[in-house]
Amino acid sequence: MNRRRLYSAVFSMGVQHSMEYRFHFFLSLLGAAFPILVQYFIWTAVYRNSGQTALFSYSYGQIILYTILAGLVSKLIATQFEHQIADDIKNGGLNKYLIKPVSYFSYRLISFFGQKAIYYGITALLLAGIIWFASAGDLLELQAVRLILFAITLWGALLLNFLIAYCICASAFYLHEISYFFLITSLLINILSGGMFPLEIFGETVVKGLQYTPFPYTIYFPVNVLSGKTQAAAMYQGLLIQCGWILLFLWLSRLTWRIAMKKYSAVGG
Amino acid sequence: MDFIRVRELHKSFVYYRKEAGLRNSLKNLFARKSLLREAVKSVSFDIGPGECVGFLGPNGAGKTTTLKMLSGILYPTSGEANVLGYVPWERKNEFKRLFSIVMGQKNQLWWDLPASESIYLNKCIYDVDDDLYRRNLAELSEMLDVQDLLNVQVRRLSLGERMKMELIAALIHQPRLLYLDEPTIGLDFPSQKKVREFLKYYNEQFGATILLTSHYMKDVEDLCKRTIIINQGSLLYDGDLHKINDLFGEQKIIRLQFSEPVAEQMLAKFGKIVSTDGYNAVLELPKYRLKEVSRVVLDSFPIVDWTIEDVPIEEGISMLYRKESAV
Repeated sequence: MNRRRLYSAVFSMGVQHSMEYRFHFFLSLLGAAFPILVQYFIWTAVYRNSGQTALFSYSYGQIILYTILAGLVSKLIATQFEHQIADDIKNGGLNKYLIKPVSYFSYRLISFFGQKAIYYGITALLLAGIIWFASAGDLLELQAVRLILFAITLWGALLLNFLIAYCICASAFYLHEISYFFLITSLLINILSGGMFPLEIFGETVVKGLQYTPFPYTIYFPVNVLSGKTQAAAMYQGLLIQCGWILLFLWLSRLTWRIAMKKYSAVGG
Repeated sequence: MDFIRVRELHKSFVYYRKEAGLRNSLKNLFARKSLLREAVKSVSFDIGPGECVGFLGPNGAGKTTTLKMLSGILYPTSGEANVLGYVPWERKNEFKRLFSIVMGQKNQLWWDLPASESIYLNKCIYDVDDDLYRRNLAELSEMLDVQDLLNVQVRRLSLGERMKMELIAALIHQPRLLYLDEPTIGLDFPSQKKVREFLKYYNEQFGATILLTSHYMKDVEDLCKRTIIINQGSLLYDGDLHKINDLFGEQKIIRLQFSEPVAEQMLAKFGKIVSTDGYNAVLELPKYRLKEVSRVVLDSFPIVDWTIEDVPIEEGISMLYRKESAV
């Protein structure tokens, strides 16, 4: 069977789809800029009035850098397909995949990567600019190994976030009106992943606790790999843990979908 | 060997009922009464290779549910089915390569991309050989007369054009079995005709088996020798469409046109008056009375024109539905 050809076709359709909505993408980048700006003003005020040079072990420059990097990474890994999948489940669009010799999961995954390919490129360019700027300002010590590991963990983060969202999507088999559910879960996951601010803010216990969840491995961990906050040894350990979470969620998503599919009633028509 | 073999197929759904109004919504929030609806009730039939079978029934009769079970989209509650040697709901990939389903009310193409992209994707999904793909695409698009539209975004196509694209996408891998769920719904007359001619050709040329549901009698009359009728989930009739009226004794229709008005009560004794407006009248009566009534009517009324017809098939089918509901 020539699956390679199929997946390259799906990938290319994903790329085409994202280009079809390029304006949407630029708007969403602009959307990422606003919370970053708001946080910039808040942090500036906090640091000015605290009289200390470092809060939660971050210097002023580091926290601004974290905010920008985390903002960009959370935009990059954002899934946005939850509503499509929920719609497929609710209105019977899933049928067209069920009757064809193709797996819905692989289709969604490859198409997701296709849609993200161009974003990944643009984000990489933006990041390159920021990294250059930050290292010129002595906020960041450029190390080739950290750059490479960052690029790898970013793909891992994409995959992990996809799998988490895909598992959550299975709830659409049980809940019929789901838009707020997605809104809340994605916001919560973003906060727990360190997409808003560094996890240290929540205190040591929370950071420790969160380390046993997959969330920090989507944003907090890649950003810290790049910024140098994570120690060298912890980097490789983190990479392994990220892989572990990916495997676990791979298994979990297959399981939840297999169970939920039995309930599927192919509505309408 | 039978192509499709269905035995005692049964499907029930759980659903909830909500009375109108806010108060009932609140009530439902806490205690919902679940009800059971039997969409398909022990349906059995066999279909041989190359047959084109019409599947008729009023809305909600269970036609689509049956098609969904036979294509593996739904699990049945009980019963057996064997399609081309496979149990559909096991969803084996080998089985999926052998058939296609086209639903008039559901879009299977990618909305934002040209149809050619979706068709190409299907080629990859079904592993169609390059040469065969090119040949099929050229042939199908020529027959349906849509060569120029292949590269237009699907959302910019008209309903009829889209339906033709759906058919091409469904047939690109030359399935041996084709399920069609109201393929001509909402289409204008020329498009309906085109789709019908195309399906007839496809059935004859490739020997493909077709199971078709439609509310347009013409679709079924033109395409299908055999008809299966279901209502409220149960099978009512399985046989030649044109023999349905035999079930109700042989009735005939007489249409009369008069040169001057004739009162309704004057006609009543000859048979059941289907309609009358003074100058025109339609009577329904048993066949054995035909000769006698014709003679009297021709002699006693100012007849301009008159015809004798069979009861329309639609009428027979409606009678079949009514008879079943009354039971």
